[in-house]
Amino acid sequence: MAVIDNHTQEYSTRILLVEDHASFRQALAFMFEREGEFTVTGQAGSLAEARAFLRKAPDGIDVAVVDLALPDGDGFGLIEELAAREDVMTLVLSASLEPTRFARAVEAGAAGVLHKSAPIGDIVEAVRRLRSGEALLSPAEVIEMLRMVSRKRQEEYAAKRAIEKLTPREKQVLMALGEGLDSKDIAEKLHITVETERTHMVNILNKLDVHSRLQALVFAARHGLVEIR
Amino acid sequence: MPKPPDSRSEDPAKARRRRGRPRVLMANEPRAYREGIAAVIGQLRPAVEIEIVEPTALDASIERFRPDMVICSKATETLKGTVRVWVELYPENGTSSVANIGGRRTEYTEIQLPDLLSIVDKAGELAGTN
Repeated sequence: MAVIDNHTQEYSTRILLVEDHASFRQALAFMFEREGEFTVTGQAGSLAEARAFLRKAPDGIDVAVVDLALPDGDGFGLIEELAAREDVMTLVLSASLEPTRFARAVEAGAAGVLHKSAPIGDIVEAVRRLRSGEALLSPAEVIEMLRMVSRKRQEEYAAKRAIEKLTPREKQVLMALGEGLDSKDIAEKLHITVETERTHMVNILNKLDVHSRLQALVFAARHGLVEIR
Repeated sequence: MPKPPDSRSEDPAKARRRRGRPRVLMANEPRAYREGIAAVIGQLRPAVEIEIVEPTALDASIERFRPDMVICSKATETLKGTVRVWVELYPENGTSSVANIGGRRTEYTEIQLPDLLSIVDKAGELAGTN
């Protein structure tokens, strides 16, 4: 973590870079610094380093550029902490292709989100626009993102409820399915008849609201009930 | 702008002219990394000739640009067979990187910008000794 105490550049935009790929973070710092109007006051490679910087220099930044995937966790909590500070804006920079992660970042308080496939000039320009008071996201985009997060949460809640309805035996059947076993093999493994296995499977399909063994398997893998190796 | 295609066997006079002016091909993902690191190399090593291409154009660009060094996310067989200095930077978006300098392999758990500049310098030295 680097901290630059620079009271003389009071008119420059002070930036905290939170990014675990050091060579890119340093290149990004270089890009900002060469513009003259920006000062990179801190660089952090993890959430812990970012929080240590914020404790040490609580009023030391105007804009935080935050990667979502950091070695000690995702950046959503940090974005919320930054959003709680007055006059600090967060630009999220992520390699993730999942729209819901960007949406969650906006929900957490990010003022803008950019994918790392963006030209480097766009990142610098985005910070400049944020500082000039320009919105990077339209109200319609923000609403759509918040809706997306809401939908995702509802799906996760429904999935959790469905999983809670499964009996321990039904979970064993699902795990055996995850091992690639067919009806006969599952029955043998669990010392039950094939008919009983099929009854369990029908109940599983009903509880998970899916229509096939394959769909049940996908559901189970997606929600961590089985591990596909 | 992409450079015009070179012939396979470089003219000796042309080779002498560009001696000490190493060529670096940037073909890593994502784009922000590629462009940001290229900008730093361009500014801090002004003698270096840099070309930036999409990763999918790596092999064709090696053939055409004949770089002394390549920075990419996934080293191809063409790269390994033709370029003496290359860096596999954050393959699969991980944190480690691998550098090959004249056949010597070095693994970096957290490669820094000065490491990359140092490898560029070594590529220049190797190009100058050819």
